[in-house]
Amino acid sequence: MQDHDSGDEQDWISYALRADFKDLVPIFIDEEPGSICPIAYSEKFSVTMAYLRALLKTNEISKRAFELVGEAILLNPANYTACPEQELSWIESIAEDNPKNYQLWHQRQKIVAQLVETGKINMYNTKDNIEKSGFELDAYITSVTNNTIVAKEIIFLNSQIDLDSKNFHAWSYRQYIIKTFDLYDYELGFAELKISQDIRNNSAWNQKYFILTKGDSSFRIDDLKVLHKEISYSLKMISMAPNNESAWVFIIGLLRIHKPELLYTTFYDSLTALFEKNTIKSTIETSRFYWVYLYKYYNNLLTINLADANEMRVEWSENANYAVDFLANNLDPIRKNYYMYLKKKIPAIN
Amino acid sequence: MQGLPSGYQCLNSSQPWFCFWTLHSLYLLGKEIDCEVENKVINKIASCQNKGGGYGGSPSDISHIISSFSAICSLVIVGTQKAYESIDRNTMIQWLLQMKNSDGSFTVHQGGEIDLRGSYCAIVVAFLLDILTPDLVENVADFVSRCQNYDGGFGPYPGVESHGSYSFCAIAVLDILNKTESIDLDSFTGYVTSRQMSLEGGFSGRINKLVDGCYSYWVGATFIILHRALGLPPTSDFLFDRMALQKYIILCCQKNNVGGLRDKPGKSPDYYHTCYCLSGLSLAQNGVVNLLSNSSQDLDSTATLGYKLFNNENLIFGSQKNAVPEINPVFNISPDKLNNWVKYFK
Ligand SMILES: [Zn+2]
Repeated sequence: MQDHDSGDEQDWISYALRADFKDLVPIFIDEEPGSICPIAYSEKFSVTMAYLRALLKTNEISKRAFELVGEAILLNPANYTACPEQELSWIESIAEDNPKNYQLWHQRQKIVAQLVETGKINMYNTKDNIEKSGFELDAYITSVTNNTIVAKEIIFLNSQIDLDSKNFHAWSYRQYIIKTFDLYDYELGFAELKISQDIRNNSAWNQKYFILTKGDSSFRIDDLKVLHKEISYSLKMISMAPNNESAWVFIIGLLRIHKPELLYTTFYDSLTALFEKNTIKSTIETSRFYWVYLYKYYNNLLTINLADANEMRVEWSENANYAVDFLANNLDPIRKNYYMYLKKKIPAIN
Repeated sequence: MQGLPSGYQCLNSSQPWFCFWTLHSLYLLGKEIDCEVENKVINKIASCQNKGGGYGGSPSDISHIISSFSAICSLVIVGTQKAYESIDRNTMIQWLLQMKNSDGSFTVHQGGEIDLRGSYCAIVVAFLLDILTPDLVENVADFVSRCQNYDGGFGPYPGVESHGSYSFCAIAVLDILNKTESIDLDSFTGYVTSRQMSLEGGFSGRINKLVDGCYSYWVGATFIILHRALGLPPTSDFLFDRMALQKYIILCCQKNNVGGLRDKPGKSPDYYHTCYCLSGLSLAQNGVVNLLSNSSQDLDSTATLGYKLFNNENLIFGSQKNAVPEINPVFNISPDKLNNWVKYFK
């Protein structure tokens, strides 16, 4: 929750005293003193809102309406009735103050969507006048789009994500822009840059998945080269930070959805191959995600190889049990109930 | 309820929310509300009802699905005949259908954004007003399922990063619609159990983000709905560490000599966090018994209302004075108040 207005109260001239608003009759809403949860409105707030109601009633479109709506939004960003359709740069100045505000990000998307629907977006196909902020990927955007609106939105988003690398609304709106204007190649560079700056940035990992599936939840990757590349990429990240949930859930989820047969073959082999190279085994063994994966690996062997020799099955079962017991009792006791639930799912051996 | 400082004016468009947060917090603290307050709540909320159906965040705002949700939940807490009669159910269903999109999603207000909050609030409102019609329900579960991500959690919209609160919205909607089997429950369980922080004991809202007291409810309630979805024995413990969560709420979300509860140490208490920390505390202190099946067509015995929580002193961290009453995890309302409310449908 943020405090808006306040500071500049002294410099503010009430609409009641302004000649250009003289013809308007403000509409005040009575908050009777005994009402439930009464809010102690500042004078600036109640007067501005009263004049706003008067303007909205007549649907007036004018310079003064524009100015008043702007002021009202600054005072009350959650007031969706006050959101007008306006140019993007104006919203930009507010979004920076209230980066988590749903309405403002949505408004931005709505304006771009309208430009696309009406075809007006094509009026902005020129390379002129794209102001870059100095962010390293900004310069590159002009080589993937010749549209000033698109370039400007990406540059704006780059700067917003630079300020708050996990800004939920910014990433969400970014997906809309990437999908609408087919900027997946550019975006892969951006997402991987963000991951390299902070390998725990889960928003960036999610974006990587979004790019690989082109934002379509029914899309299935069948190019093995792509999946092998992602296995190496994720394992590199896992060896740098074995407890990073983002990297584990990314690769396990990717394989589970797109090529489940790789999950307990290629991925297992690549993971264990890492251990032979150096001393990484002992650090990966500190990861709860590694042990959950091992549990699933042995559980899978028990499930798919029902006809195998009993001594093999006994060993797999022991390994699966060892993994969950170790997690529950030593490595990660806070999730003990979950691990005991997993333990019950280990298939019985004859 | 005696008045809010002017710093809250940015929430002028959230008046039904304030009613819900305060009424529900008072219930959880064992405070009865009197007739006078009840009438004020009814009048305040009635003033936010629009002619075309639904409720706005204030008398001058257009209808918003989240304001409608908090308005209806507040009226259920009040629970009187007058509260029930203040609602225009006919225009509400018309308006909800206008907000609905063909892919099964909901727009939160005319021209507004689409996300899973819309789905959750719309389905809860319709359920609580007994207007859950086939047209309203069609494709809703499909849209929800499309929001499930590779990590098992749910984002607000297909493709967007998973989040504890949207995961709650997803599983709660599917629970009401009796469709929890339509998602990947295995990866969902992995995602949800990972939200509890090893050191702090509280929940985080997203992967690699910090703990926050309000997720005690959003994520905590998800565990309880999941418990039934997985078919776990009603008397067995939930899949989270209830003592660790209670310790976080009691020891870290309170501030010396200041009322209310907060996100985390270093932050100030507010109404929203007070409500959801207390709600999470309630879930962590109670067990579930006697989960009813959905075999009967009677609304009061549908599965969603069949969560019977019991208070067990062994489940309470610290003094027995820390005990708070039980809630239904899907609606975050007292089970007794819900059962009282559904009698108006008959
Ligand atoms: Zn919070």
